[in-house]
Amino acid sequence: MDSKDVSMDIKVNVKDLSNTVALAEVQGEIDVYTSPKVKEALTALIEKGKYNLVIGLEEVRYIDSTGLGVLIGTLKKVREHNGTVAIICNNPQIKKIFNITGLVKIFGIYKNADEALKNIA
Amino acid sequence: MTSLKNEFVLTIPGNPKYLSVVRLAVSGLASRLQFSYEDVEDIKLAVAEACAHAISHGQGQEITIECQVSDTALSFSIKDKGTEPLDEEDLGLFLIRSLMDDVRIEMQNGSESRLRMKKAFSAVS
Repeated sequence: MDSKDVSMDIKVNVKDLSNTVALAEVQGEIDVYTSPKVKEALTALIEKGKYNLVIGLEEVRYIDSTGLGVLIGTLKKVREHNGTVAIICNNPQIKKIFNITGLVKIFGIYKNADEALKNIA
Repeated sequence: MTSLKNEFVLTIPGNPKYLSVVRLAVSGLASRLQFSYEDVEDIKLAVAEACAHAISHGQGQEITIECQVSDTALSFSIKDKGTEPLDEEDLGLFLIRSLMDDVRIEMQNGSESRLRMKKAFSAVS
């Protein structure tokens, strides 16, 4: 390990929205370096039996293809348990990436947690 | 970054933790040119995707990002020391092709590869 390291700009806060739905709010930039942290947090939720997930990207300033891969992987895992993933996103640039990649057709993308919860429950 | 007329060269260790530094440098440069906020974000993502790909392709060896500002475009060449063919199905490469102009992959002498891309000023809205 280097004596001085580049700090990891990522946080994931987790809470229950209902008995069956959990919210994972991500803050920071999701890239090749930080996405393992996001994957770890989402995998931990699935292992606890949370198969309906709302992933909040409101505080995410940047996401790359690796980050998108984590979201796709999470969706695949919860679908094995008849679960689903809803995304909260208002950032036009991130929405654009979802559009370009066609992921907008795979994930439900909502403005806030209330809207996501209505559609996921 | 060292400035050589309208060229900038940045060499980073082949470690993904430095991608955030590349993003800062590239968005800093692009935002001082005539690009819109959306274009700057596109350029930042495309170059960072290319660098992430180069770090993986170069198996952790250092990579070099060359930027050139011309009258018509901001051009990038991302060089790594990997010799295997690049994965054309890569989602990152798909994003780069979607966001940038004139994307080209060059394998050179079996010793390195380069991903070249441009963002034309004429595309500025």
